[in-house]
Amino acid sequence: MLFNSLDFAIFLPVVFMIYWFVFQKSLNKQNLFILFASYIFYAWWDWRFLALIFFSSIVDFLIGIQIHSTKLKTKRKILLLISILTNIGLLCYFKYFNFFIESFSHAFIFLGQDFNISRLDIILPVGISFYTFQTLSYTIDIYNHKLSPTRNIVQFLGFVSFFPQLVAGPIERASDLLPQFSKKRFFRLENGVDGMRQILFGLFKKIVIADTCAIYVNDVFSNYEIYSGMTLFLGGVLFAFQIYGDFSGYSDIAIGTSKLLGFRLSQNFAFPYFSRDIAEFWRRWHISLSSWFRDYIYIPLGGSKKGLFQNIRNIFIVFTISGLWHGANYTFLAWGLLHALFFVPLVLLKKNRNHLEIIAKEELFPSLKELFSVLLTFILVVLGWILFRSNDIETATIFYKHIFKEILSINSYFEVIKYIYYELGLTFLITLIGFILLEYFGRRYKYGLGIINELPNPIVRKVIYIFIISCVISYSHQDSPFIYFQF
Amino acid sequence: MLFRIVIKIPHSYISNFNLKQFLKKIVALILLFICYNCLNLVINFWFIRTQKFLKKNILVVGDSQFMTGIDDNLFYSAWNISQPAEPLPLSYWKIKKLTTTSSYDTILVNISHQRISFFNEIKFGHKKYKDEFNNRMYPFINDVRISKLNFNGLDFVKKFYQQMCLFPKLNHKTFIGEFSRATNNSFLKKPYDKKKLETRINDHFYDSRNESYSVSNISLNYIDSIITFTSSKKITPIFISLPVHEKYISKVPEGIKSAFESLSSKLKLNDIKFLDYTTLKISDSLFLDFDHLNKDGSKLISRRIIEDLKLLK
Repeated sequence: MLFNSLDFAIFLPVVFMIYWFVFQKSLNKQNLFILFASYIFYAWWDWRFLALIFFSSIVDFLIGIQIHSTKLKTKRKILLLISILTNIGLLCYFKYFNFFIESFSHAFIFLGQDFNISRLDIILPVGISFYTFQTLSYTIDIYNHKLSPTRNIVQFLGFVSFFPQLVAGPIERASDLLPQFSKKRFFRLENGVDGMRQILFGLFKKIVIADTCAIYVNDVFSNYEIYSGMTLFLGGVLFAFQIYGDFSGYSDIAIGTSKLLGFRLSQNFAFPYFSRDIAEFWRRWHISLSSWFRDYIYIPLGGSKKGLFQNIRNIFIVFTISGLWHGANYTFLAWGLLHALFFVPLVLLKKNRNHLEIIAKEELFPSLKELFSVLLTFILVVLGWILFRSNDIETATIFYKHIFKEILSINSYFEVIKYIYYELGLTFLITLIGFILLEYFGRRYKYGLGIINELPNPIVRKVIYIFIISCVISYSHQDSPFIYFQF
Repeated sequence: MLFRIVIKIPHSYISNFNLKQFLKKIVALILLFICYNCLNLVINFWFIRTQKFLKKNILVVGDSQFMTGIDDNLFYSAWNISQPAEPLPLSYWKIKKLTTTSSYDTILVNISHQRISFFNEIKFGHKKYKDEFNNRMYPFINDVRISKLNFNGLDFVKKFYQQMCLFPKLNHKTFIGEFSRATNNSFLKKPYDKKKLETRINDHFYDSRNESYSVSNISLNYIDSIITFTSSKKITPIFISLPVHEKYISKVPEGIKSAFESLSSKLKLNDIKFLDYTTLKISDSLFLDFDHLNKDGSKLISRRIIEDLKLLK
């Protein structure tokens, strides 16, 4: 079920009503209902894969209890290994099997050997990368004595399959989300209003920004032969907004929906395009995944504590895995490595923790130096997105060639202006600029539209809501899936 | 006071004060939104009713063949409002709509093999076209009789709502097209691209199971409707079939060909003017593709039509 579909527009109010009006008095019944609703939500896409999520959950539930109850180090290690192998095994099978087969085949052919194994017709279960990481964090935390296992199966199954964040995150830690299943939840007006507002803003990001950008991105990336270098770069810029609107829009809807049900999810995006360097970008982009990699891969590998060489090696490992996590394609792998290359100079210069606060925190506008840093970081990120969006490395190479070749060509810039004027249209350009300004001025809040709270007049607020709802409805054409579902 | 009564939720149902307040806020917002929608609906209906159209003597109505084929700038007083993929029912509604507010003495209507194929009936519910068609159709909702067409009412209502209820819009002329000067000369570089021809023919005359479409009786009926309607308004309807490439003609299914011939005879028999240039021999350099003319082709054929219209008068 898509968040931007009529199905969900009916599903959510029904769940909300039953949840608060029928089961308000019993926590167990509420949890059971959440589990039921989450399974319905997932089964809407393909009911057969419910078995997979159930199996994955049960394995980790039982292993969690076993790890906690045993004192033997070896047994604990073996149990953890079983959990990791089961989860990563399922992920590898569904997501990477064909990729590995093809890679092996290419490698053997390159070495002059014949290696002929046909591809398997495998459907990638929606959200597998997200819930796999979520359950993995549970067993690893228990192993590290950071968490006690739950013995309530309903709570655990609810935690793994919690429908707002099941298919595209945020990837919640068991230590944050699981305890919320065992505490009595109350509906608070400010949470409800804030949740609805965040859902609305998420829908705006997805439908108005991301889906509209997608039209031009698809055009540029499918007809790249006919466009000038700077128009190709514009395609990359629009993809940057598409993927941000799409993914952060999903996170906003997920967080908002959770607020309506009395849950609190972690912030997944913190205005990443206002970052002043790549390190800051990664502290602000897909925060739940970045922190997962930091806590479960980078730090266990030694982090920055074992010398510069080890640190750089660890950074490359993390970014490589991060790239592959996004998809079984060399473009994702290259995208990860490119970001590692952008990141390493900051580590070498010890500048990777320079910007921990949001830009111009105490000021209205950033300084010229900050503005320049933001633009430079954004350009680097866009160059990365071109790899991410391209179907193959060759296409991305053509993009880069044209962009760098025509960087000083005035004609190429004229082509961009023509494209913006005739294709993109001024209405959408103004909408996009308005969105960037809203994000900028709302940067001190958890999400851009949060700034609306500063308006004292409730009528003005309502007018703005109605304007945004109208935009969302008028831009919505057909159900379009979220990009991160495929990951 | 009335507002308070409408959104009052009985206390017994909801014990939680916060929940009650929340629902009140949501209901209030929904009511406000509905009022805003109704206001827009009224404004937009008013805009539709008062919108003005070009006043010319000749109205040119058809699909993409007319859109690229008839250059209205060459006529003394003509207005080409053709749009791509337009089926005959849509042409009829457009004529009806425009003739109620402006007076025309002649209407040129495009007919072709493709326009009488059954494919035109399924276009209204076709994934590729339905959004675009609903967008063109919503301004004449009063005139549309759609029961016999393969038409998804819910999609239409959605489009109608999107266009009428969300914002006040000054432009509701979504059904007005224009002459498009086709400068592309790729056809000349590769005139006998078999694959392109097959795709074109399959699109127009064959379904997904590769069975040929039958003749669209609804399209034929709408030709009658156009004749009856224009006659009642004392407007002269002139049907025109533009040249298509001989390779294209050779691939048109026989059933459609014979239906087109019967239509041609019927029109002549009833003294309806019909200028048939379908098989007119013209150079490949005048084609945009197998069934469309380019800018040079349009210049040639428009001049020819002007001459023939003089003769007809």
